[in-house]
Amino acid sequence: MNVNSKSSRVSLTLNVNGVIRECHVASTTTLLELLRGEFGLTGAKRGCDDGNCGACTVLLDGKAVKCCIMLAPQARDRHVMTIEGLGTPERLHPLQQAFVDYFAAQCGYCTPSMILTAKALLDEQPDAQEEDIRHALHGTICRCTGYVKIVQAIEAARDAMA
Amino acid sequence: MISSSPLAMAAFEYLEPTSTDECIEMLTHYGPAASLLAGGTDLIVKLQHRALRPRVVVNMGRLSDLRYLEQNDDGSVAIGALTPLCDIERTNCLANGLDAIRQGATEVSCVQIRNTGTIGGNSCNASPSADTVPPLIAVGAEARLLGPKGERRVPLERFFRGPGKTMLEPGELLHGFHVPPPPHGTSSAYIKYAIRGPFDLAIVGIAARVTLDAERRIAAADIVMGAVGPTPIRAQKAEQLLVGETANEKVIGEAAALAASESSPISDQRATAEYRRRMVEVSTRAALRAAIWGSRKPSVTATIVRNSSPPSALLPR
Amino acid sequence: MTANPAKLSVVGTNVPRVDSVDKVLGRTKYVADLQLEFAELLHAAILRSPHAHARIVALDTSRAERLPGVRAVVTGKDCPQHLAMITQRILAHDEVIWAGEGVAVVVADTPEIAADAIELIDVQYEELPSVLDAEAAALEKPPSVVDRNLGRHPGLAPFTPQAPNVTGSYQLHNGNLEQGFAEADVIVENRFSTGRFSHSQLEPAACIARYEPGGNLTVWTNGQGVHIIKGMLSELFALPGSKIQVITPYQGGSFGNRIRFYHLEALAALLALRTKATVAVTYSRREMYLGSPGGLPVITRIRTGVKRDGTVVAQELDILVDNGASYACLQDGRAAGSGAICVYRQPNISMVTRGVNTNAPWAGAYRGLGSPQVTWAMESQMDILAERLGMSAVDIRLKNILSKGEQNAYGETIESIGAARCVEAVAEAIKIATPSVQEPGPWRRGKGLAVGGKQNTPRGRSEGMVLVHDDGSVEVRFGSDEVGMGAETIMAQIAAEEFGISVKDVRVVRGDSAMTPYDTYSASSFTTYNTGNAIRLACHDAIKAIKRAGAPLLQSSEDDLEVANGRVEIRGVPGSGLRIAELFKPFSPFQDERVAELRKGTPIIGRSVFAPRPAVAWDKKTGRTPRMWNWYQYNACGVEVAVNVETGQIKVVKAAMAADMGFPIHPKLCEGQLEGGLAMAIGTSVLEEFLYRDGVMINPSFADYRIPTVGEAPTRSNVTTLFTPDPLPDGPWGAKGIAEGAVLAVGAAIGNAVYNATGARMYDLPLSAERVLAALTAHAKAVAS
Repeated sequence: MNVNSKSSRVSLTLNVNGVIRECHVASTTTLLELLRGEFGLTGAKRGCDDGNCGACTVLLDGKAVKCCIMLAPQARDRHVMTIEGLGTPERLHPLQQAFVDYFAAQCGYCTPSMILTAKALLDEQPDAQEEDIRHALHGTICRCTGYVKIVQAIEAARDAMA
Repeated sequence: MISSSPLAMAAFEYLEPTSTDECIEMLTHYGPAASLLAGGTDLIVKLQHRALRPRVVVNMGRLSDLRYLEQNDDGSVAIGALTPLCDIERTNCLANGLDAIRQGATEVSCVQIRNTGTIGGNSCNASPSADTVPPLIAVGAEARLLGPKGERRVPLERFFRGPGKTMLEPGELLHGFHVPPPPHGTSSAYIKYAIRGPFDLAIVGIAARVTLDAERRIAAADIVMGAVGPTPIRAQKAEQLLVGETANEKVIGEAAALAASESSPISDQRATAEYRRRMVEVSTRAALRAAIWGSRKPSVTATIVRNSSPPSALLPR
Repeated sequence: MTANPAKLSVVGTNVPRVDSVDKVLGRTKYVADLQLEFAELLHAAILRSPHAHARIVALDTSRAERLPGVRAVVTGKDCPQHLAMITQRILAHDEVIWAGEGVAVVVADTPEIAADAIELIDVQYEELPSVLDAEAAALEKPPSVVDRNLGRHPGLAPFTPQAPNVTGSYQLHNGNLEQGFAEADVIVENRFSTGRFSHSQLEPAACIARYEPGGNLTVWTNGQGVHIIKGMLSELFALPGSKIQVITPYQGGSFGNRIRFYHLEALAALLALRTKATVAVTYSRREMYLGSPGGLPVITRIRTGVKRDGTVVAQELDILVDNGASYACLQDGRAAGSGAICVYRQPNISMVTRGVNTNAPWAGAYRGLGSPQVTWAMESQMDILAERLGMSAVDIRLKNILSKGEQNAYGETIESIGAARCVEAVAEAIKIATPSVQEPGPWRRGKGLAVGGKQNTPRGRSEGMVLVHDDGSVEVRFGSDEVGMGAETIMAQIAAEEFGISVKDVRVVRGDSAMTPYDTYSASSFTTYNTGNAIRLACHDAIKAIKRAGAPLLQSSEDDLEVANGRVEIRGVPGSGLRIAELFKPFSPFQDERVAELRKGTPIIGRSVFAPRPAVAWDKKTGRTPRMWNWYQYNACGVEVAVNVETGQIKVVKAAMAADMGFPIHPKLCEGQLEGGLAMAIGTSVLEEFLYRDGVMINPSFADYRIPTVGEAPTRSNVTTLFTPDPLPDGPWGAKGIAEGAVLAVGAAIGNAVYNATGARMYDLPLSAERVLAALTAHAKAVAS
């Protein structure tokens, strides 16, 4: 049996936004709770009860995942990118800049998840068309914008990054 | 402690085996008090709602030997239980007669879920509306089960006992699926019908596999229906109707109507039983058409669902 | 207050939102994100009724109280008795009246312990008959009485309800209805209904309340209206307002859910007062459906008489609005009814509206306040009439839409109405006269349009505060909300325009009862109008003070001065003036207080109060008044849909939205409202409804309450937004509001398009696939026979 047996806590090391982090948390801790509670990275949000809304989306080894329905140790030794790892006020990532320029954020609650989902898409498909963008965003809900300016912003970022 | 919701899991011990043997030891030791964690997309939700209260959660994440997706020389395919659905979505190993499996994986929810959820988890969670299950059954997949007494194989068709219930004995885990090579001239499709497309759980899910002989008669047909019974249901009468017939709209329509009568749906928050039965007919027609002629979805713009790459060019028109 | 738009430099332009950068960086803190800032924080969990109606026979919390880590368990008897503006109990007392009503609350050291403790509460219910059908509930002998004390609540004026569940009623009578029907060439009568919807904004309700014994109660909440919440808490807990501070950080959407949702804060405050600690109450998504306000189902019976030329000559309406389960609710359906009055000329009309309680989760303010639901009925009826007359959908509407200067049926003189141009704009955009191109397969296409109007409630005072700092920078302070619509940006724009500076030089401070002046909440689309006018006036006040300080220094009279670009100058004499910063004398610790001079460290403060002209009470017999509401926003929607005749699914393939918002202060933000409203209304018209079994909602989740994903919205090039504004005389630069207009006409446009595509007329929203398929099947049978 491994070191964590018979214990209701779990230790793990993971890379968060380029920084190696160690933590020791209750076994019931989700990856979302780890990021928000342990590391203070509150950009990922909780919006629903069952992994549907996508507001918790982060990138795990570059792929979009819903971290509210993952246990923290599922990220053991892996690389997590949250919105805090993307861009700075002085230098926004092109996606962030596009969301500003195209007014794609209204209440802003889904904005980090939309940007990260789009980043994963464009990293894999730099030439993604609207159909691909809609496919990628299918699991990330927005109630404010009707998605129009979000798609416009992602297309603009795609063109800027080309 | 920062909390964004009053939903809070009941305490459990967490275990992380580093080998399949170690995992089986743990499962044997803890029995029904243990839950297996694969991708977690179903399990974590149940834990948060306290629908499940295992004493122990066993994380399979390090069992890399359960993650494989290989086509063998004889055309059979081995799919490891921990293969994420996104890998199934993108593979070249599942074409033509096995394409329904790939199509089923594509229909699961959204990108994020497919990046995390596993094909084994989809079966072991045993939701009647699981999207990869009807296709796996339709192509005759076997479940490879590994336990303290060694390995056994069960036709996937017999793996499910009811919603959330499988044939897994205490101490057993699902190693993966053995998918036999499809006969020559076989093509397959999976049609998921849901209001918001992949995002929703299926209202009905129909897998169809059809083998055409040299004269374009239907030599064999498999129709497996999901979400319309406590476990997937094979539409046997519909299948029998098709065998020996020349593929045409009329016979497809008759088979679809028969399949609807063989379904056993309930009314729930997603749909009424009556509507499900009607959609079985609509979707079975669509699945058979797709399997035989390759057109998979009625076309309309503004739809989120993408047509996967067209099935076999093997089937003569 | 209108000005020549050609002379505007900031207002009317698309400045970057003041909150965008933080939002895209993920730095914006919502209430749940603030939890980290508290060293010690307790967490609450709520036990909710599983029954739609039941007596609480026994409630034993002792086992829960004994669990280590539990700080308190609170039930109805621990809650203040009087209602203080809350039309709910904080927790049920001896009876639960909807499935989801709170019965007990646990406060504990961790969310896990709170959840564990909930399971240790022993409660026994005796189930009672319940009623979810509004028409059954409205009977004189209903299956269930929801609020036993209706009409007799202490602190509220007593009244005798029409029926045990009817909470209020309103009647409007104009002209001669009988005569009107006698003159009509065609008479059509129908019943329309809408289901129960939910706002489903992404950020769940959350509140943190901290109580320091002998000291202050501080509340951070995503509820709306810091001053209103503070006033409510002061009343409820008999705490002086001076000891209460309410702060609303950025809110993750609302659409009305967070308005008057007082028992979120009341509960958190109660728990904080009880434990003398800091307590977080955070709702799950399920609780948002079961325990927060939802939308208003409305049943409209409408009988219309028209002449052959399309003139509406008689209109009879019976409107029943379903409050859900409420205590001390006074809903009379009047707001919903306004949707039937504000668009068309109706010389002979009788409208009766009623509110009724049922045992469903209670209805609060929802985008449109009932107008969209009534518009569904009115605009479906208009298309039915048009077809009977052989007229186009556009012509029958243009024939009857009111003009500026006319009176509507209330007796109000119309000051601003862009409805007709809205109709023309969408008709052109979707080319409604050109039939859809059909493609082979089960999808049938069709086009439809509709128009609607939404009142603005003339209530509420907004106070504005504008600070001019000694560096010349401007700070705007206001007390209403930023739920995502961009209110902070609008106020910054207004100040930038008034001072002749860039938005970048304006700071916004909002939503803190200790810092920001009185305002209500952001509701009824009135923030731009109410708060915007107040901010504008406060800017004028500050500018006057600048001129007063500058006049002696520039040896000029105040009237000859103007303020722009951070300077005060003599008009017409460029370079003549001073930088505003130069008006402030250097800082000195030994300042002579009696001399009224500007000193560094003390800003100029401009203040204002704005309140709309009040409503005028309506005549008790006719229901008429020259001022029932304030202004109306208008919106038309045109769509092309594809209907799958095998499944009943509807896809909106193309949409055009045209808005009369008076004046677009920020055009892109206006577009955003229209695009967002379109998607939201597609949801509530086609996809979303509360489903029940035995009075219990069976789909309280994003899995099964189907809000639109991107796939349910048209592709972006198929959404067109159009502005056809008609300036409002007392709006800032003519501006009204836009946010609710955006959902008014979508449902009816879709319904009309479905009819044009398939020949099946729908009467009940949502147009779920099952309902549409049933209608198609019935239609096919009718055609065959």
